[in-house]
Amino acid sequence: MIAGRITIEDRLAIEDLYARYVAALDERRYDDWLDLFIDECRYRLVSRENDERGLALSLLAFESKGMLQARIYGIRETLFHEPYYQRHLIVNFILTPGDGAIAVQANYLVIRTKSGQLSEVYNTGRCRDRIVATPDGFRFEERVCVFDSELIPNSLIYPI
Amino acid sequence: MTRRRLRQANLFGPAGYVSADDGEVIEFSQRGFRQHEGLATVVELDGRETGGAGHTVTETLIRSMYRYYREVMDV
Repeated sequence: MIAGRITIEDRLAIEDLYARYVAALDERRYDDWLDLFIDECRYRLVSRENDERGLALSLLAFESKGMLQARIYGIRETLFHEPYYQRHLIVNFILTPGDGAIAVQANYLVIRTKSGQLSEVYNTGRCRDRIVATPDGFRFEERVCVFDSELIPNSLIYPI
Repeated sequence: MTRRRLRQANLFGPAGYVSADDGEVIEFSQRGFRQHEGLATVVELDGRETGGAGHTVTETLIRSMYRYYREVMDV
Protein backbone atom coordinates (compact mmCIF):
# COMPACT_ATOMS: atom_id res chain seq x y z
CA MET A 1 0.00 0.00 0.00
CA ILE A 2 1.36 3.43 -0.97
CA ALA A 3 0.17 6.36 1.19
CA GLY A 4 -2.44 8.52 -0.50
CA ARG A 5 -3.18 6.24 -3.42
CA ILE A 6 -4.65 2.86 -4.09
CA THR A 7 -2.68 0.44 -6.20
CA ILE A 8 -4.21 -2.20 -8.40
CA GLU A 9 -2.92 -4.77 -5.88
CA ASP A 10 -4.81 -2.96 -3.10
CA ARG A 11 -8.00 -3.01 -5.13
CA LEU A 12 -7.67 -6.72 -5.81
CA ALA A 13 -6.88 -7.42 -2.15
CA ILE A 14 -9.88 -5.40 -0.98
CA GLU A 15 -12.23 -7.11 -3.42
CA ASP A 16 -10.82 -10.40 -2.12
CA LEU A 17 -11.54 -9.26 1.45
CA TYR A 18 -15.19 -8.68 0.50
CA ALA A 19 -15.36 -12.03 -1.28
CA ARG A 20 -14.11 -13.76 1.86
CA TYR A 21 -16.48 -11.69 4.02
CA VAL A 22 -19.45 -12.77 1.91
CA ALA A 23 -18.36 -16.41 1.76
CA ALA A 24 -17.90 -16.57 5.54
CA LEU A 25 -21.37 -15.11 6.21
CA ASP A 26 -23.20 -17.10 3.53
CA GLU A 27 -21.55 -20.33 4.72
CA ARG A 28 -22.18 -19.42 8.38
CA ARG A 29 -18.48 -19.49 9.24
CA TYR A 30 -18.89 -16.71 11.80
CA ASP A 31 -15.46 -17.12 13.42
CA ASP A 32 -13.90 -16.56 9.99
CA TRP A 33 -16.19 -13.54 9.56
CA LEU A 34 -14.98 -12.14 12.89
CA ASP A 35 -11.33 -12.50 11.84
CA LEU A 36 -11.90 -9.95 9.07
CA PHE A 37 -12.37 -7.14 11.61
CA ILE A 38 -9.76 -5.37 13.71
CA ASP A 39 -10.34 -5.35 17.50
CA GLU A 40 -11.32 -1.67 17.61
CA CYS A 41 -14.03 -2.01 14.99
CA ARG A 42 -17.51 -0.66 14.46
CA TYR A 43 -20.45 -2.26 12.70
CA ARG A 44 -23.78 -0.63 11.99
CA LEU A 45 -26.90 -1.61 10.06
CA VAL A 46 -29.19 1.38 9.65
CA SER A 47 -32.20 2.31 7.53
CA ARG A 48 -31.74 4.85 4.79
CA GLU A 49 -34.63 6.79 6.31
CA ASN A 50 -32.70 7.36 9.53
CA ASP A 51 -29.29 7.72 7.90
CA GLU A 52 -30.39 10.51 5.55
CA ARG A 53 -31.89 12.43 8.45
CA GLY A 54 -28.70 12.04 10.48
CA LEU A 55 -30.51 9.88 13.05
CA ALA A 56 -28.29 7.34 14.75
CA LEU A 57 -30.86 4.68 15.63
CA SER A 58 -29.73 1.46 13.95
CA LEU A 59 -30.98 -2.11 13.71
CA LEU A 60 -27.57 -3.25 14.89
CA ALA A 61 -24.91 -0.98 16.38
CA PHE A 62 -21.73 -2.66 17.54
CA GLU A 63 -18.65 -0.75 18.67
CA SER A 64 -16.07 -3.47 19.24
CA LYS A 65 -15.09 -6.95 18.12
CA GLY A 66 -16.47 -8.21 21.45
CA MET A 67 -19.93 -7.00 20.47
CA LEU A 68 -19.65 -8.87 17.16
CA GLN A 69 -18.70 -11.97 19.14
CA ALA A 70 -21.78 -11.48 21.31
CA ARG A 71 -23.90 -11.44 18.17
CA ILE A 72 -22.39 -14.74 17.04
CA TYR A 73 -23.23 -16.21 20.44
CA GLY A 74 -26.80 -14.94 20.04
CA ILE A 75 -27.11 -16.55 16.60
CA ARG A 76 -25.77 -19.89 17.83
CA GLU A 77 -27.26 -20.12 21.30
CA THR A 78 -30.06 -17.72 22.17
CA LEU A 79 -31.98 -16.40 19.14
CA PHE A 80 -34.72 -18.86 18.30
CA HIS A 81 -35.56 -18.55 14.61
CA GLU A 82 -36.53 -20.35 11.45
CA PRO A 83 -33.23 -20.98 9.67
CA TYR A 84 -32.59 -19.42 6.28
CA TYR A 85 -29.84 -19.14 3.71
CA GLN A 86 -28.32 -15.75 2.95
CA ARG A 87 -26.68 -14.94 -0.36
CA HIS A 88 -24.76 -11.67 -0.51
CA LEU A 89 -23.76 -9.76 -3.62
CA ILE A 90 -21.54 -6.71 -3.11
CA VAL A 91 -20.71 -4.75 -6.27
CA ASN A 92 -19.77 -1.38 -7.77
CA PHE A 93 -16.85 -0.57 -5.50
CA ILE A 94 -15.65 3.00 -5.10
CA LEU A 95 -12.36 3.18 -3.18
CA THR A 96 -11.12 6.45 -1.74
CA PRO A 97 -7.77 6.74 0.05
CA GLY A 98 -7.86 8.54 3.38
CA ASP A 99 -5.60 9.08 6.36
CA GLY A 100 -4.86 5.63 7.74
CA ALA A 101 -7.82 3.93 6.09
CA ILE A 102 -9.40 3.34 2.72
CA ALA A 103 -13.05 4.36 2.42
CA VAL A 104 -15.12 1.87 0.44
CA GLN A 105 -18.58 2.41 -0.93
CA ALA A 106 -20.48 -0.34 -2.70
CA ASN A 107 -23.99 -1.56 -3.39
CA TYR A 108 -25.13 -4.71 -1.66
CA LEU A 109 -27.96 -7.16 -2.14
CA VAL A 110 -28.89 -9.96 0.23
CA ILE A 111 -31.19 -12.71 -0.98
CA ARG A 112 -32.89 -14.94 1.59
CA THR A 113 -34.07 -18.48 1.02
CA LYS A 114 -36.14 -20.39 3.51
CA SER A 115 -36.72 -24.12 3.36
CA GLY A 116 -39.37 -24.99 0.76
CA GLN A 117 -39.78 -21.39 -0.40
CA LEU A 118 -38.63 -19.27 -3.31
CA SER A 119 -35.64 -17.00 -2.84
CA GLU A 120 -36.57 -13.39 -2.07
CA VAL A 121 -34.85 -10.03 -1.94
CA TYR A 122 -34.26 -9.65 1.77
CA ASN A 123 -32.16 -6.55 2.28
CA THR A 124 -30.49 -4.18 -0.16
CA GLY A 125 -28.66 -0.91 0.11
CA ARG A 126 -25.27 0.75 0.15
CA CYS A 127 -22.31 0.07 2.38
CA ARG A 128 -19.89 2.70 3.57
CA ASP A 129 -16.89 0.98 5.06
CA ARG A 130 -13.39 1.77 6.26
CA ILE A 131 -10.60 -0.70 5.51
CA VAL A 132 -7.17 -0.66 7.14
CA ALA A 133 -3.93 -2.45 6.29
CA THR A 134 -2.72 -4.83 9.02
CA PRO A 135 0.18 -7.34 9.13
CA ASP A 136 -2.45 -9.99 8.20
CA GLY A 137 -3.72 -8.01 5.22
CA PHE A 138 -6.66 -5.64 4.81
CA ARG A 139 -9.29 -5.73 7.55
CA PHE A 140 -12.52 -3.92 8.39
CA GLU A 141 -12.24 -1.04 10.81
CA GLU A 142 -15.80 0.05 10.18
CA ARG A 143 -18.72 -1.39 8.30
CA VAL A 144 -21.92 0.61 7.86
CA CYS A 145 -24.76 -0.88 5.81
CA VAL A 146 -27.58 1.48 4.92
CA PHE A 147 -30.63 -0.42 3.70
CA ASP A 148 -33.24 1.13 1.40
CA SER A 149 -36.50 -0.35 2.66
CA GLU A 150 -38.13 0.79 5.89
CA LEU A 151 -39.32 -2.77 6.33
CA ILE A 152 -37.53 -5.92 7.42
CA PRO A 153 -39.45 -9.12 6.62
CA ASN A 154 -40.10 -10.01 10.27
CA SER A 155 -36.62 -10.56 11.65
CA LEU A 156 -32.95 -10.14 10.90
CA ILE A 157 -30.80 -12.71 12.67
CA TYR A 158 -27.53 -12.97 10.75
CA PRO A 159 -25.34 -9.96 10.02
CA ILE A 160 -25.27 -8.32 6.59
CA MET B 1 -26.40 9.21 26.17
CA THR B 2 -26.82 8.51 22.44
CA ARG B 3 -24.17 5.80 22.72
CA ARG B 4 -26.00 4.18 25.64
CA ARG B 5 -29.30 4.29 23.81
CA LEU B 6 -27.71 2.73 20.70
CA ARG B 7 -26.26 -0.08 22.80
CA GLN B 8 -29.63 -0.63 24.43
CA ALA B 9 -31.37 -0.55 21.02
CA ASN B 10 -29.51 -3.74 20.08
CA LEU B 11 -32.04 -5.49 22.30
CA PHE B 12 -35.09 -4.32 20.35
CA GLY B 13 -36.51 -4.27 16.84
CA PRO B 14 -36.40 -6.97 14.14
CA ALA B 15 -32.73 -7.73 14.83
CA GLY B 16 -32.90 -7.30 18.62
CA TYR B 17 -31.61 -9.83 21.13
CA VAL B 18 -34.90 -9.94 23.04
CA SER B 19 -37.43 -9.29 20.27
CA ALA B 20 -36.19 -10.91 17.03
CA ASP B 21 -37.30 -14.35 18.17
CA ASP B 22 -40.62 -12.99 19.47
CA GLY B 23 -41.41 -11.99 15.88
CA GLU B 24 -40.32 -15.42 14.64
CA VAL B 25 -42.53 -17.27 17.11
CA ILE B 26 -45.52 -15.02 16.38
CA GLU B 27 -45.10 -15.81 12.67
CA PHE B 28 -45.10 -19.56 13.43
CA SER B 29 -48.23 -19.08 15.55
CA GLN B 30 -50.00 -17.05 12.86
CA ARG B 31 -49.39 -19.84 10.35
CA GLY B 32 -50.91 -22.27 12.84
CA PHE B 33 -53.95 -20.06 13.49
CA ARG B 34 -54.81 -19.77 9.78
CA GLN B 35 -56.94 -22.86 9.57
CA HIS B 36 -59.70 -21.47 7.36
CA GLU B 37 -59.83 -18.41 5.06
CA GLY B 38 -63.28 -17.31 6.22
CA LEU B 39 -62.97 -17.98 9.91
CA ALA B 40 -61.17 -16.30 12.78
CA THR B 41 -59.11 -18.06 15.42
CA VAL B 42 -59.06 -17.18 19.10
CA VAL B 43 -56.28 -18.52 21.26
CA GLU B 44 -56.91 -18.39 24.98
CA LEU B 45 -53.74 -19.02 26.90
CA ASP B 46 -54.96 -20.36 30.26
CA GLY B 47 -58.64 -19.44 29.82
CA ARG B 48 -60.36 -16.08 30.22
CA GLU B 49 -59.89 -15.33 33.88
CA THR B 50 -57.77 -12.63 35.47
CA GLY B 51 -56.83 -14.36 38.73
CA GLY B 52 -53.38 -15.39 39.92
CA ALA B 53 -51.59 -18.46 38.61
CA GLY B 54 -48.85 -20.69 40.00
CA HIS B 55 -47.12 -20.86 36.61
CA THR B 56 -46.21 -18.52 33.75
CA VAL B 57 -47.98 -20.34 30.90
CA THR B 58 -50.82 -17.85 31.01
CA GLU B 59 -51.92 -14.50 29.61
CA THR B 60 -53.57 -13.56 32.88
CA LEU B 61 -51.28 -10.53 33.24
CA ILE B 62 -52.38 -9.06 29.92
CA ARG B 63 -56.05 -9.86 30.59
CA SER B 64 -55.73 -8.27 34.03
CA MET B 65 -54.15 -5.18 32.50
CA TYR B 66 -57.06 -4.79 30.08
CA ARG B 67 -59.62 -5.51 32.81
CA TYR B 68 -58.12 -2.66 34.85
CA TYR B 69 -57.91 -0.46 31.75
CA ARG B 70 -61.63 -1.01 31.06
CA GLU B 71 -62.39 -0.23 34.69
CA VAL B 72 -60.41 3.03 34.62
CA MET B 73 -61.81 4.04 31.22
CA ASP B 74 -65.32 3.15 32.34
CA VAL B 75 -65.99 0.79 29.41
